[in-house]
Amino acid sequence: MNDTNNTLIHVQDLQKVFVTEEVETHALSGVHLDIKKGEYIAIAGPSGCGKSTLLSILGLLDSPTDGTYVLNGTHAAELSASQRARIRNREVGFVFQSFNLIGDLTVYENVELPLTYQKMPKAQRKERAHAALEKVSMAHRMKHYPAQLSGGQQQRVAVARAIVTDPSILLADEPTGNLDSANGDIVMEMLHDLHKAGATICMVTHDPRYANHAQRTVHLFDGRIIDEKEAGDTL
Amino acid sequence: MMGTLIQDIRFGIRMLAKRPAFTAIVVLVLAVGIGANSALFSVFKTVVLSPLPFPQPKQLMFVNSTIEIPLMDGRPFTEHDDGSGEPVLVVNQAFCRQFFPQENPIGQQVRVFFCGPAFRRIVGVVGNVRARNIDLNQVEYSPMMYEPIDQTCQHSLTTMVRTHGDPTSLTHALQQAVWTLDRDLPISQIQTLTRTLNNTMAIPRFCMILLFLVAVVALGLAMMGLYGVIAYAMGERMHEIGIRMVFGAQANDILRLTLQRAFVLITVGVFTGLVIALALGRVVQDLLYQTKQADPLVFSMGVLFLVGAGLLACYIPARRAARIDPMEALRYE
Repeated sequence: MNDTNNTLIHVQDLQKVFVTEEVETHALSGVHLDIKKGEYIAIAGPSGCGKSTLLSILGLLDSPTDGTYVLNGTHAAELSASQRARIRNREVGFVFQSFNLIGDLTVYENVELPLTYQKMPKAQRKERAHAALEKVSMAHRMKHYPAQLSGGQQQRVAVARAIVTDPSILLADEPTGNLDSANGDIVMEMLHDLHKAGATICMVTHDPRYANHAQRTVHLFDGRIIDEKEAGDTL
Repeated sequence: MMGTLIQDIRFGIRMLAKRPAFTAIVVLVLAVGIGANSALFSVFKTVVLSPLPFPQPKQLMFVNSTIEIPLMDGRPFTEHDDGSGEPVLVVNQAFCRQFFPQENPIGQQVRVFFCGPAFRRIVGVVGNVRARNIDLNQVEYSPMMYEPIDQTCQHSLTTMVRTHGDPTSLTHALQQAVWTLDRDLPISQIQTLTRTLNNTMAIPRFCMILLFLVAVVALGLAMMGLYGVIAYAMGERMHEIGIRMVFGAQANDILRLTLQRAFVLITVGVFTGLVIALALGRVVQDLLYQTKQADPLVFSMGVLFLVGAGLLACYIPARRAARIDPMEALRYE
């Protein structure tokens, strides 16, 4: 990537090694990746290839064993735990395969949650949470609990929670993995709309059908990028 | 800040309401703890803060000039109150209250049966004392009559001696003093006032020690139980903690949230525990002299101690949760 001003994520020679009692597992080996602002990228590959590990590192949930990771001009290696939490809160939105909504909170409270950690005034939180729920067409369910919603609805709420802070990048880890195809399509449509509105999205998927929604697809295998293709290219 | 606090507390209450079994266990543990703790502090207060269970041990025995029972009215006995004098009596205030509530007792004649029926004139009124033993459940003082030594027909006599040093060192001298009067007088026992008091208190003191031990065990169990259930609850909430950390919660946020929830739980438990402690207080009241059923000091100590212990029991797992890696927390199911 030559256009450094427009680069949101810069990853160079990223390594991640998990060490258990006797075994060393190289989850990521020398990954290079740049993501531009406003880009929609898919990370594809078979199970166990390191997709989710890469996404965790990009989301500052995990740290690489070696290599460089720069998020919006900030070197991740230099961040303390509290700085990482603050950046996660303001710069990154997460969507998980298993939704990860808090069952004891209502839909509204789940969406409001990231804003409470910004010490935002209640009125402003309310306004932002409402707007996010409107975007995913879930405002009418805001007093419900997650258990009262379908899987598709829960994932829409999860998307609302991810975008409520207006993050620099949206990281989605198999967002359609727990959904039927109809609901999966709805979520993909939602991500597409968010991208059209200017959001930067990085989505992990093992389903080529959904990977095709992205502008660019990076293929991982055994912790290495083996292929990259832009939308419209053919393998 | 206040809004977040209220929201957290509301969330805590909702969480507890959703898990009635868990809440009931914690509340029960706290209730037993508070009850045990109050009992424990009742004993502690009585045994340690008030070493003698009687505020004025000097009043335990009666020898007019030695023990200093205050003369309230009339006169004390004199050397003229001997066998040839008019039979007289000194009574206590309780006696006057019961038999002469509206009259001046001085000069009144009463019929007594010390050595067969006889009339005696009341010459003095003294203050109330507990002369024979400490009746733990006795609130009112008993009416008492005192007769001069030279007018008594009792076959035994207890003599009180005030000493300036160690009273046991005078045992031999006391025996000699008695036998100087009459070589054939048997002396059944010579013992200190403290020993007499201890003998009187032996059974209640044994009950107190038993109660204390039971309370200590109950408190220990309550502490362990509280720690266990909170640690279990933390494990159950680990996934939620992971989600919160993903979305920006910092270690302090997790710690605060966890302690606030625990505080809600402890508050509910404390109120329930107070009711149980009140019931237990009645038992303690019957066992311990001058212990009130709802002693504010005892209750405050019991509640503060257990709330502190409860928060400490929560703090350790909460601190561990606050330091957990978000990815690790997310993997909890």
